Amino acid sequence: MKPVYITRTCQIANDQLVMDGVEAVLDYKEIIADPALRRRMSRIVKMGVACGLKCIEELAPESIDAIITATGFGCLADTEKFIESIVANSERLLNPTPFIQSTFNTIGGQIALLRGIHSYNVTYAHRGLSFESALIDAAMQVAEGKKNVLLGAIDEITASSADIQRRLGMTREYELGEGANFFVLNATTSVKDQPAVFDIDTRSGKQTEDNLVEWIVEMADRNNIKTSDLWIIFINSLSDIKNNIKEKLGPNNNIMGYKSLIYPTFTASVLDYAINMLMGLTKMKILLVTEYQHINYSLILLGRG
Amino acid sequence: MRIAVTGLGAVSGIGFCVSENIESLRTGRHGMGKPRFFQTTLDVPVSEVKATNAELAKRLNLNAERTYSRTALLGLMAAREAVADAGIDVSKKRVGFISSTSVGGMDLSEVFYNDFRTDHNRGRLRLVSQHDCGASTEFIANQLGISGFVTTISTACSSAGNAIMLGARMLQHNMLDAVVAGGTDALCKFTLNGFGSLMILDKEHCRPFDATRAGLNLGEGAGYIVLQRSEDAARAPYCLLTGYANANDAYHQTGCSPEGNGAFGSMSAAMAVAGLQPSEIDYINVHGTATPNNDLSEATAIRRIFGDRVPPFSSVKAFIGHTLGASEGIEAVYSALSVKNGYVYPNLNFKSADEAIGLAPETEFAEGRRVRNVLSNAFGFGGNDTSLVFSRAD
Repeated sequence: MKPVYITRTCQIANDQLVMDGVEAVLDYKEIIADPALRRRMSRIVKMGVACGLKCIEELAPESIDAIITATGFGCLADTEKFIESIVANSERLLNPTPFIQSTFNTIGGQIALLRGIHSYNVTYAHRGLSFESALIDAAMQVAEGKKNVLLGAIDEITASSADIQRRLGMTREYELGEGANFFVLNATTSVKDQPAVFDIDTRSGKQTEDNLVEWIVEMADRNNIKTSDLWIIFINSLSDIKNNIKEKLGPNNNIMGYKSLIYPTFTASVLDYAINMLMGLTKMKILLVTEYQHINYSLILLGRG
Repeated sequence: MRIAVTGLGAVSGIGFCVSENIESLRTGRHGMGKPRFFQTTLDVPVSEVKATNAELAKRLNLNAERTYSRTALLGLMAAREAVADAGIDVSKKRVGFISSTSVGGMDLSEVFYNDFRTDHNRGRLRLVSQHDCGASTEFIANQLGISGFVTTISTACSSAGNAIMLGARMLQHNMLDAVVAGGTDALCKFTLNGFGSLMILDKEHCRPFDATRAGLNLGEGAGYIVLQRSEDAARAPYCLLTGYANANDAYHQTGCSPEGNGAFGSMSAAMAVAGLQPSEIDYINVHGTATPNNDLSEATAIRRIFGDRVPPFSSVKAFIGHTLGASEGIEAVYSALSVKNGYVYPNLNFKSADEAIGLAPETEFAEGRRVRNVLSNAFGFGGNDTSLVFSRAD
């Protein structure tokens, strides 16, 4: 895979906006000017649309060749609101707004609509690999010659989804979270040492320690890197087994664990974190080893171009 | 690189497999009727797959004691048919599964919610654990034995078109050797009421492109095609997938622009990818939902491209309903067979031309026609428009 440069990052989490690693003022009124539209938007839609719009605020609409979004659970609050209205009103006289906004591609569609962007627009909704799938598509778009590919991930937590995940035992190891992360991707950059994604791979189904070791070595080999030259970051539950994997991988002092809040597209926030960490590294590359609910795994290799 | 369509699978209100679907299209047998397999008070026609979940599970040799979402059952039925048809070895690492759905396991979630809404400690968890879109995809991939790249796309009614487009691009990028791509969606209260709340459901049998059209009918089903590089195909392909494109109308969250900008963009770009002139398209499988807005907008876009030489076109929505995330999966199967056998499908219920549209669709089933290239459209909420081009393999 050809390197994909990340020329801009934007994050909204805990009502805080961070752009290119720097905290900025989050003013929804300024970002989404139409008050009626803003009022209709549920939290996830507002958070996602605002984050995406900030990420491309300096770009002309015709210069954006793709909008690719990811969400594991989609717009949960709108979905519940519409189901509740079906039951409460016995299928009569329903307000369509929550139904319209419950669609998984609402955020990508709204960004296109608000900025008049007619290019490629797609949404991935595949559990813990929603963001990775979107990143793979984005990397292909960049390789196909597309410029300023907007890649984003959004998930929200609601009282109901938290209760359901708790009852399903999904919160035993993790603390639930939510957030929006957007990135602008390009094939080239004029900035020296711009962060770039060099490779990505995904797997479904439980992976053993040996599977993970073999997979990490395979990715290092195909990128002509020694595993000892990588910063390997094991995310969430994998951070508990990092020492076992370290032994199997051979000598490497650059292994760490990182625990993030959990939601299907959390790897987008981990990527944002790793990009910031790259700023402190001169030559080394980072390999993110992620896991979601022991069913979805990914490897993301990044460095400075 | 030539991308071959080597396997087809479809289930819809007019048949449990591809041949049953085609037989119904040939004989004019549509799938519309009152909802029988899910509870609703709405009195509108829908095209249901004519079996209960237990019957579907039995047909699939699944343990009937377990709980499956209808979306997963329909998807497995069509995907299994497509894989068997192509004769590919799915255990190979570079075989992918790209599925799409708009509701996922919503049919179960809404049952769960009846108990859960009054007490968050109630409701059977097995009914909600399959809620997310990825659940049905992973279930189908596991059942088929596909362990390579697996993902789910959800862009409302254009979802399956985008799944097929991603599959083609992953073959182009040499990331996969074979891919099963398409979509699945089951009918449920949620979507029926959703489209009801938008006031775009016709209480009568829908009439795409007709002057009296008054809205759409929903349907359910699943459709998948197997794509391989033509040199890797184990069998003679049905046809080639030569063009694909996705464009955004950026006009309204649920409506289409009067100029059909998104549709114009996706159709012209798909033809450009295929390297085709308008005169080389012999049939268009239109999106044709039968809403006043969609059909006029789509027709306007078609006229902008084809001028006064619009090729034969038709909508199959009056047969199978609008199957949302499955629609382009099922219609890709129909389009592939149109190229292979020269089929042109009838646009049921078309009687009087709409002056504003000024075009009349095909109303009779035809076979053995010269069909070099088929253009197939799928448009969705969020202004999401996708077009595919299927072409003769010889």
